[in-house]
Amino acid sequence: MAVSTCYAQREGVLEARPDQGRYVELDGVFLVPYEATIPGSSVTFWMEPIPGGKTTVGDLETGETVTVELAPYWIGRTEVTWAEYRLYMDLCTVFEKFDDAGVRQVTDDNRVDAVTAPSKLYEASFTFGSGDEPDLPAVSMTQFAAKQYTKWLSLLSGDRYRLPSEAEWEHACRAGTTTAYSFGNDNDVIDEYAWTDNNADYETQAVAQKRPNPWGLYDMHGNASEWVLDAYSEAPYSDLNDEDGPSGEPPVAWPTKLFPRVLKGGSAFLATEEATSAARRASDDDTWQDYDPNRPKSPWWFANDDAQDVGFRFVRPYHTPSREQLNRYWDADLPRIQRVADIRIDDEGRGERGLVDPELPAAIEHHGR
Amino acid sequence: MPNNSSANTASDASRRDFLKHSVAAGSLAATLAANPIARAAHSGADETMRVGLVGCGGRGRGAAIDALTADPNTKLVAVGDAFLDRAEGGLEAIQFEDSVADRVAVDKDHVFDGFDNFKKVIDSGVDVVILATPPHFRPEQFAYAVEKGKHVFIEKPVSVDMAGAASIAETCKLAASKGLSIVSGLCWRYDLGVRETMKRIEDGAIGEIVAIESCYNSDTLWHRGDKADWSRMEYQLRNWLYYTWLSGDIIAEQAIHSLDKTAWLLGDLSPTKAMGIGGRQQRTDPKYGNVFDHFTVFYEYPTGQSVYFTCRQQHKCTQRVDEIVHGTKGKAEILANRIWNPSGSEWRYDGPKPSMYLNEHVEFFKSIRDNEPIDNGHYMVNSTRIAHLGRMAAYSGQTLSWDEAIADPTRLGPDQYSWSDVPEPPVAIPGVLAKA
Repeated sequence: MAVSTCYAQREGVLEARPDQGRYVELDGVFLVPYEATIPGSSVTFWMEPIPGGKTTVGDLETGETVTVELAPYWIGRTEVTWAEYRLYMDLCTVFEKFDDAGVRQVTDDNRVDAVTAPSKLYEASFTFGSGDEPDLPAVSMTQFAAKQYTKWLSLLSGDRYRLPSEAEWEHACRAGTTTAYSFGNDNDVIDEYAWTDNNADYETQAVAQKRPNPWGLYDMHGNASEWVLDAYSEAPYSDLNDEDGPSGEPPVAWPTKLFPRVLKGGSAFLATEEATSAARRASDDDTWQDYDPNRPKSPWWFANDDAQDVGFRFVRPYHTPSREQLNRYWDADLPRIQRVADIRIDDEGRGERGLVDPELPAAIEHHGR
Repeated sequence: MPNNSSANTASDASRRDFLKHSVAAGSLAATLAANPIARAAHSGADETMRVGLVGCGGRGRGAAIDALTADPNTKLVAVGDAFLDRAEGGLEAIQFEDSVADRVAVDKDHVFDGFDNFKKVIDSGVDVVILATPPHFRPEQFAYAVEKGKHVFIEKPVSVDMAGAASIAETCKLAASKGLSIVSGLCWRYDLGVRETMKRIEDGAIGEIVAIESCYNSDTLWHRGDKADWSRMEYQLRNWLYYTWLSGDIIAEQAIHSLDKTAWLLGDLSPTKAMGIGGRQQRTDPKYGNVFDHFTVFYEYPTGQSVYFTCRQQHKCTQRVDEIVHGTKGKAEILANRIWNPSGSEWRYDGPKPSMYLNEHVEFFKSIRDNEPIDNGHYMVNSTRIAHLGRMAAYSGQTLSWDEAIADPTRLGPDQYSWSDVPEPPVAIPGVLAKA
C-alpha cells in the first residue's frame, strides 16, 4: 500500500518511484495516495493524487468545452462522511465550553484563524433522512459550511485543503477519459459504479461500495452531489477566471451572489443521465432552506428533504496557496453570508465561532469534554 | 373541567370522520364554516392587512416574513419584544429579507419593549397578530388579542401549565364567536407530505392503528450566555428555554410537535392517563435552569392504543425525530412520509413539499380573505395539555389521569413581572420534589 513514508517531505510525496500503486510523477517527486488521520480523533480519510496539465472539460458531446491548465492536486477518495463531518459539527459544543471556561477566545487579532461551527440540529429528520451512520456521506450542508470545514481541517492538520473548482472536480472525475461517464458512453452498467435514482431508493448509501473510476475515486457519478467553488451559469465554464494563469490557482467562476452555485456528480436522487462527468446542477438555497423556521436562516444547514443529497469532497493543492488566497477559499465570499453567521452566533446563540490550530485537540481534551 | 375550544364535536365524531376533516381542510374550517358565527370585519380581497409581531426572536421573525410572503397585500406595522435590542434586531433581520423589505412599515414609534409591549402592538391598528414570545406569556397575550378582535397566529405550545391551557381554551371560544382565524404553530398540520401520509393511514393503508412509537430525540439547543448587568429575570428570559415557567420544558417547547402528530393520528382525542420518566444528565450546570434533558412517557388513549414517546436534547446521542405508527396491516413513518405493508408493497410521498411554515400563513390569510375562519383551537389546546400531562407525570413520578391533570390550577412563574432577581426555580426530583 502506497502511503507516506519516513522519507517523505510532505504527506503524499515520495522522492523515489513507488514499487506499486498509483502515483503522479512531477519535478522528480512522486505524488501518491495517502491516508490522513484527523488530529484528535481516530477518523481517517484517503486522498488520491491527480495529475496537472492541460485538460478539456465540459460537454464533449455538444462541444461546449473549455481547455484549462491545472496544477496537480490530491482529491478525496470518497465524499466526506458523517464520521468526518461530525468532528466539525461537534465544535459548536466545544466552543461553547471554551466560552464557559474563558479560554481560546476569538478577538479581532486572531479572527483570521477562527471558523464558524454549525448550529446543532434541532430537527434530525431534515438531515439524517438516509441515516446517520459514520460511513454515509455527510449531507445538507451549505457551501459556506463545506468551506469552513476545509478551513478547520487545514488549520488543525497543517495541510492545506479546500473545495475543488468545477474544472478540478471534472478533471478528477473523467480520470483521463473523454466519454460521457468515466466508464464509457453507455449508462447500462452505471449500477456498478454509482448510486442514482435507479438503484439507491432515494437514500444516500455508505461511501466506496461501488467501483472506483480509473484514478481510484468512488461515488463520482452518484450518491451525494458535491459542492465546488464555482458560481452556476447556464453556459458551463463561461465565466471561468484564470487569474493566476497556468499552474497557479485553478480557474474559478467566482460567485458574486448567494446562489446558484454548482453541484457536480449526480446523486441518489437524480437520474443516470444527470450523472455524467460533465453533469452539473444549480443550487437552490431558497428552496433548500424552506423548512428552516427561524430568520435569518442558517448559513450552515439546508433544512429541507431536497438537500439530503448535497455533500462534498475536498482537494489539497500540490502548490500551497498564499494565506490570502486560502482565506478566499475558506471564508464567506459575500458580506451577507458572514453577517448572517454573526447574527446567528452573537444574537441567537445558534452556532459558535472558535480558533483552530494544532493545539485544538489538547484544548478539547482539557476544557471541552 | 375546563372545556376545550370550539371543536368538542371532535370527541363525539369517530376518529376517521375527524381525521377526514382535519386532513382534507388542514383545519376545522370546514366544520366551523357551517356554524352561524359572526364574521370578522377585515376580509376584503383588496384591503391591506396590517400585521403586528409580538416576540422578535428567530421564530417571530420567520413567522413575520412568512406572513408577508403569504399575502402580497400585507404590511408589518408594529413589533414588540421584552427587550429593545431584540425588537430592533428582529426588525433589522426582517428587513434583511429582500423579498418583503418594502412592506416592512414599522416606524420608530411602533417598536415596543417592556412586559406590556404586546398591548402596544395589538393596539397599533393591526388586523393580524403573531404571538411568538416564550410560551409563558401566551394566554394573557392571546386573551388580549382576541378581546380586541384580532386574527392570531399563535406559536406552540400555547401555555406552560394546565391553568394557561384552560385560559386559552376559553379564549378560543370567544374567538370562534367573533369569527376570528386562529392558526397555531403546530406546523406539521400544514405539511403536504404529512397530510397525505395521514390521509393514507386514515384510508386504511396500515389497517387499524395499534400503537405509536414517537420520538423527538435531538441535539442540545442554544444558550445566550450571561451578563453582569442582567437581572436574574433578564437572564431567565433571554435563556427562556431552560425554565419550565417560561418554556414548559423541552417536552412542551419542542417535542409537542411529536405529541401533536400522535394525537392527530388518534383523532385528536385526549389520552386517559400517562406514566412518565425523565431527568437531566448532561445539563447539570445551573446555567441550564430547571428543565430536564430527557423524557419517556407512555400515554394510553381511550380507544385502546398506546403512545410510547421519548424526547431528548443531548449531545452525541442518536438523533431521530419521527413517529412509527404500527397498524394491524403494516406500519408508517410520518415525517419520512412512508408506508410499509408486510407484503412488501411500499408507498412514499413524492409530491410537492412547499414550506409548511409558509403554507400555514398562506392558509391563514386566505381564510381571513375568504371569510372562512380557521380555528386550530381544539388541537392546539389538546396537544399542549398532552405535553403538560407528560411533564407532570415525569416531574412527580406519579401515573396521572387526564382528568386530574388538566384540573391542576398551578400557575407557573412569578405573580408580577419586573426586572428583578427572581429566584432560581428548583429542578424537579420525581417522588421527592414534584413541583416545577
